[in-house]
Amino acid sequence: VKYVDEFRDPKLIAQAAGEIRRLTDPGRHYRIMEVCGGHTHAIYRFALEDLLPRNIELVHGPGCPVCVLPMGRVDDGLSLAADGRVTLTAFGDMMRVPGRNGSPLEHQARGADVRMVYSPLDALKLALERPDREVVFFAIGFETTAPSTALTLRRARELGVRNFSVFCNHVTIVPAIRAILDSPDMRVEAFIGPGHVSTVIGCRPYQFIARDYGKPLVTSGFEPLDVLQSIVMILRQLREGRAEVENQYARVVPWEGNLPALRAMAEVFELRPYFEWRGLGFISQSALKLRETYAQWDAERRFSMPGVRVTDPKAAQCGEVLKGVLKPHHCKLFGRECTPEHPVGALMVSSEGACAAYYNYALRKAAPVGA
Amino acid sequence: VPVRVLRVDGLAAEVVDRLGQRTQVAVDFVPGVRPGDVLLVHTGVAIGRVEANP
Repeated sequence: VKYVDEFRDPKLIAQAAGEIRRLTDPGRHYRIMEVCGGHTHAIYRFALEDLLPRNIELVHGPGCPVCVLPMGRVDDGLSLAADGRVTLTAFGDMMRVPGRNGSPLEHQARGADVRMVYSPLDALKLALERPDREVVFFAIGFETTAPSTALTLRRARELGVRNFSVFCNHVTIVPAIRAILDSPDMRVEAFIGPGHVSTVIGCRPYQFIARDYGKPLVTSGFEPLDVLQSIVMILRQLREGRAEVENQYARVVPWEGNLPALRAMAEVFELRPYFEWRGLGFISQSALKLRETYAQWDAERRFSMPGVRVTDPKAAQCGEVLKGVLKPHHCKLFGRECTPEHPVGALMVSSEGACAAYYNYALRKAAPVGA
Repeated sequence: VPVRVLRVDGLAAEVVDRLGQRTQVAVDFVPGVRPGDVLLVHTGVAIGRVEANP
């Protein structure tokens, strides 16, 4: 298929790997963060680290939506399902994320009306089919997913649907990158920029990273050749002493982003003053909530939620892994108590989570200590 | 993963992925979409177009 197969061509991949070796200074250690969980997944699925010189270290970033959601918000969402009138809907990824008293799937097994949907539009459809139920959509995700929630809310408003609402947990990637750049224990020399988020927001919002922090960012696609080409572009910048925002994924990412999607998001959402992220703590203006004009469809205004903060299980080190301070297999629970079948932490749940990627594709190399 | 547009009906389109699976997606955010276009779809909504020569 066009746009996929040519980016998996072994010959081109070998060429790019050779170019990376030529551009790498053997006396230097490179720490490059892939911001997006989709890239983390691709890097392990295609074993791309095996093609890199040992002094290039890929650090996994915060771009996995279910991973960064603190447990308190999971519990808040699940508290809605305890209301007998409510049908709680969520993406498949979200269904297995542990709350304090189990995941959405476990709540479903105990009789709560929790359902998996592929799109928020499916949740709205369910509300139209079941006027006797209060259908709530548990919205998570970065700017990739937020447009679909915005579109759904627009439709709900146009259709005057009264039994539908959104529990909004959408987050924005740029403040998280800034938080990482400002974090004292974080040393990253360059970023592989998120491809699909950038389809929506474009490349302009990253310019401060190059301008104010002097670090290159290359927006990248998700095929093996995409990721390797992005590393080539980063290494060229570092070698030439440049720090710029470049776009490797121009076949999908327009520099200005998707204007109709951005307009819909601006119409429906506004920034929260602050929001808590797992591992990164509270970050100013890093999440979205529904505007006053959409209050009627805002689950947080329609229902009362406990709004408590819940700390992660003590033994799990999700926060450190999320910040790139620890590798997944350095966590005491990795591959023992915490596996994709029985996840303790959210990073083991999603295919975009660093722990799940390690477990599924790199377990032999990342065997737990003592195993 | 990119999908190819088979049919457009107002703000909905039928698309096919590389495994041959067909689905309906919303195309509100890709104005002027036509059969044959390649789209990037996320959670049932097209958020971008794949350009052959960007």
